[in-house]
Amino acid sequence: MIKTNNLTKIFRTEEVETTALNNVSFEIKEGEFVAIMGPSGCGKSTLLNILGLLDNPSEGDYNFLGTNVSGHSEKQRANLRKKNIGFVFQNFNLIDELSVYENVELPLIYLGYSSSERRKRVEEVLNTMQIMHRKNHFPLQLSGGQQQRVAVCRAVVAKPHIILADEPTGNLDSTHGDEVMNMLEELNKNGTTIIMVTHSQRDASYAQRIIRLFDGQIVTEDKTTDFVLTAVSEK
Amino acid sequence: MIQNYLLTAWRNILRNKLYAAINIFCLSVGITGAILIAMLLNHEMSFDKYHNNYQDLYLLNGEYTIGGSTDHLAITSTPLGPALKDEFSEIKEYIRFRSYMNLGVRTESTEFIEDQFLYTDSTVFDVFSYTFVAGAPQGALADPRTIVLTRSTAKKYFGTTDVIGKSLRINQDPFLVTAVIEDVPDNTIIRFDALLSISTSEYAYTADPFSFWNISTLYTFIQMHEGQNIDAVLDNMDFFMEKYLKPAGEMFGATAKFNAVPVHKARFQKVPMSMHTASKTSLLILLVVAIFLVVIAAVNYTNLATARAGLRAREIGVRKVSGATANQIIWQFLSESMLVAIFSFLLSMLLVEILLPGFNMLAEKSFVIQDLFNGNIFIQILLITLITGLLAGAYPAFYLSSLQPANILKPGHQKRSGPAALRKGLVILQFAISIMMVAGTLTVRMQLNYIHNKDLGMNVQDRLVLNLGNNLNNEKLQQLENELHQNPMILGTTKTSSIPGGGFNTVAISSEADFGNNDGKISVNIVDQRFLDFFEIDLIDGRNFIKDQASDQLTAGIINQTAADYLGWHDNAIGKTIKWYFDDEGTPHRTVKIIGVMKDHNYANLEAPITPLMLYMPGEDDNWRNILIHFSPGNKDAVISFLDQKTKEFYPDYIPNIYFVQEGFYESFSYQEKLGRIFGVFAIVCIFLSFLGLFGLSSFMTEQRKREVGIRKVLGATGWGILSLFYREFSMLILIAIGLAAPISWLLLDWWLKGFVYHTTMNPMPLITAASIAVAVTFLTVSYHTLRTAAINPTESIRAD
Repeated sequence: MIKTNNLTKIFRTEEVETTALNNVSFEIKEGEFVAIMGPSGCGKSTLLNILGLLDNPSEGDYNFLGTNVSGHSEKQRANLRKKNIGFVFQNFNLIDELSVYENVELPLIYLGYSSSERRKRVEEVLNTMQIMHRKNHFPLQLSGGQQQRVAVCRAVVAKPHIILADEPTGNLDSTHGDEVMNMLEELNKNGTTIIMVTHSQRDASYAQRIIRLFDGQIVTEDKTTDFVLTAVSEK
Repeated sequence: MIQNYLLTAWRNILRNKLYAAINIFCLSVGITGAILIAMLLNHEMSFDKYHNNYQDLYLLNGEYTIGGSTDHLAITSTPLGPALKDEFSEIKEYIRFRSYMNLGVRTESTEFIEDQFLYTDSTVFDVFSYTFVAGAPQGALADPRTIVLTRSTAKKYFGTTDVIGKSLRINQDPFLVTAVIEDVPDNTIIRFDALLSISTSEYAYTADPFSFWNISTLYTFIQMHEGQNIDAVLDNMDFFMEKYLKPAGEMFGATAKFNAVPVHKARFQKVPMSMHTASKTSLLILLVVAIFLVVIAAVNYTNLATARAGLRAREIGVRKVSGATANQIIWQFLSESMLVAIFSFLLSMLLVEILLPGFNMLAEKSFVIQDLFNGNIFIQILLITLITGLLAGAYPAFYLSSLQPANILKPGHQKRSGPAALRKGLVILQFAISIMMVAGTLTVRMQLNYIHNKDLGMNVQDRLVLNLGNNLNNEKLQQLENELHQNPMILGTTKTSSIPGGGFNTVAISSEADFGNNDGKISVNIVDQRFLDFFEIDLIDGRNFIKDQASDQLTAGIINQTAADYLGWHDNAIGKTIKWYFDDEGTPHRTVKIIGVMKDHNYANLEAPITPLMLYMPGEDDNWRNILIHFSPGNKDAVISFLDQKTKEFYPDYIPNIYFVQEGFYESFSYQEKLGRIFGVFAIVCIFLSFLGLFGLSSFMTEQRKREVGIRKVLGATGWGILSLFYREFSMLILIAIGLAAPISWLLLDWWLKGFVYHTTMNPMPLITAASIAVAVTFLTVSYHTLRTAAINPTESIRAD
């Protein structure tokens, strides 16, 4: 489903050149739950941006659903993105001016769904995620956990192939954090590929595989079973 | 999709009420100004388009060359129209209008003096579109001494419009009222209060109108047959000129040419004696002002929107990751600015309704709000709104759509404003425009002051005209004048045929060897012996007229210096003769001997340079219509009521027509005065809008830098130190604006001033004043916000971040 080959990203300013990713190669198969870990500044978010088609690599190939997208224009990427990828962010990134319902509806609008189809889908996902009773509320009227639940609803409403989650529990307490992780796990069980950037071993334990980055390079690729014990003891 | 855009926009407005209010208010002020100017411009461009045949109607202009000098005049001779219709089959009809000044009109009980009566052809109603209130167009003006009144005139004379068959006396002759029409609208060059049959006028000269080729006294309009081109006539006039004009012109070496201007464009031609002309430049200036208003208002929106871009960045990021393309983001922000523009439009309709009476006073019009919904104007207003919305939203839309979600969705992303360079550029643009507008207003004011204070070479202060209409009885008039002299407030009187500041007759003078090479024509005025003293006009050579001296009547002349130079006599004019008063064979019947040369003075008005002038005294039997009165300063009201009372004693049925000599001099500048006033008001609006924009922007900028101010205070910065930090930033912008505005306004205003024959010289005062206003506005606004921010306890501003 996703295959990268020597993916490199270099940020250049007038004086400084920073290599955020350095020859990163890996593959993620359909239905996998992969966690990307590493210390701050190791290139996790940069990698996630490229995988999420929000950015292009400076060098290397990125094969997404069988197509090399590394040289795609913003418009081509936007097109692929809206059909195939859902995003969950650490700071939720809901639009404050839109209600819960309207926030979740947004991807469907850009996909051109009819209003009746949109209503059906949004209500379905809000029910599944048990946030239907809040559909007319605005983000600032919700708790962090509820906001993230809405964000997950928004990420999944268009039934994407992949969900990219960037520290999805970073702004949540452990109870709400677990709630969100369980949701992602459930989605994964239903066949959605999930790639998650996280600092937390505990969250990583939900993944089947962990890619560890350091200074823009992959240092290890583990099976989560290797450290499940540590994660369990953390719990 | 659009629903989602508008929903977000609406909720954004609700959440940021101050900014939304500034945006909506600024745009609505800009749109209101543009709407008012659009109303004025539409009105100005609509002249005479209400005539059904207006596209086939033309006004003829003459180009008359006498003795080497050419005059372009909007007036033509009596026989021109009929002869053209006879000779050119393309011409369907001709209509002539002849106006008379000071026509005495007597009803059963009262006498009025009228300036807006026109003699015209009986076919006038076939060609021009007028609405009949009573009577019928056919034959209304067929007979001599018939008259068609407008509704207001009928009411003024008779108190009703049911007046057909009633009679009036005009210049002693009885006239029969044959019809009443609606008052002519304001947007016509052919303005009148009544139409009189031209056959009356021709009848008064002679039975043969063709003997009048040499006298141009009336306006000739022609109506082409539908689809016929006027050029077919103008390009084939050689035989016509040979047949009619050449024999007439040969009498005194004159030639003529004709051209035509479409009736709806005649208003803008710069031909002397045109009816109710307007300057296209003035309209262009107004159009530019309207554009300025919209631009300044739009700049405020753009500036605030880009300054606040950081606050919307996350939303854009989310929309983009949710699948929005850059184009969709552009459309979203354009629909947002359009929504604001639509709200502004609604508010501006309210503002127009409120401001219309004031604007009508300013522009001397009588617009009503319903005018907005007539014809093209509503479409124009919608276009103004659309353009304003697009102009305001375009840059923010493009800028915001270019933001990359990868950058703006990071948790640590700072809420940065859009590009500061652009905002600074726009503030510079706004202030440059405002400075130009203010400098323009002040220069217009300066020029009008110059005109009002200009030394005319004669004293017209405290001098009144008493017009006596058709009460032509010299003996009675002499008695009245003697009585006036008894009043100690009256310092002197004189009698004259033409009033200085008004129109003067110009006559052809014959060419003789001792006239030099430059003879041809001269303006004339019939005066009495007191005229020069009355107006304090200096005599520089020869002598004044002597009362009752027969040789000074009709045959002695006093010319001005320009005439002496024009005729090649310079310092040697006394004793020279001028011959004029030609008969049909071209023989001059009158010889005038020059007895004096007077100092040049602006006798007509200040729009044209001084031309040759000759004064002469009338014959024994000639009658006067005007007495001019010089009164002691401060006694205006007492003198006017005295004149009123005395006139009534002498002429009990007559309503005296009393006015100031001065009025005529400045009448021709009334259009500039009006334009100056309109310009001034909109200049204030521009400054106000720039101020509001700066207010919003500096409020946002100081808010953003609250933390910086807090840290500086902690580190020991004083209030003044913080103020000067912000001043430095803004004063640089204003200095650049001044640097830009100064040369542009200087060049434009210098060019404008040079369009006047008499004009003040450019000086830097208007620019200095305009720049000072801009600086003061900036410093006041910036100080207000900076001091508020600096007053916050630093512990709060640092913690709040």
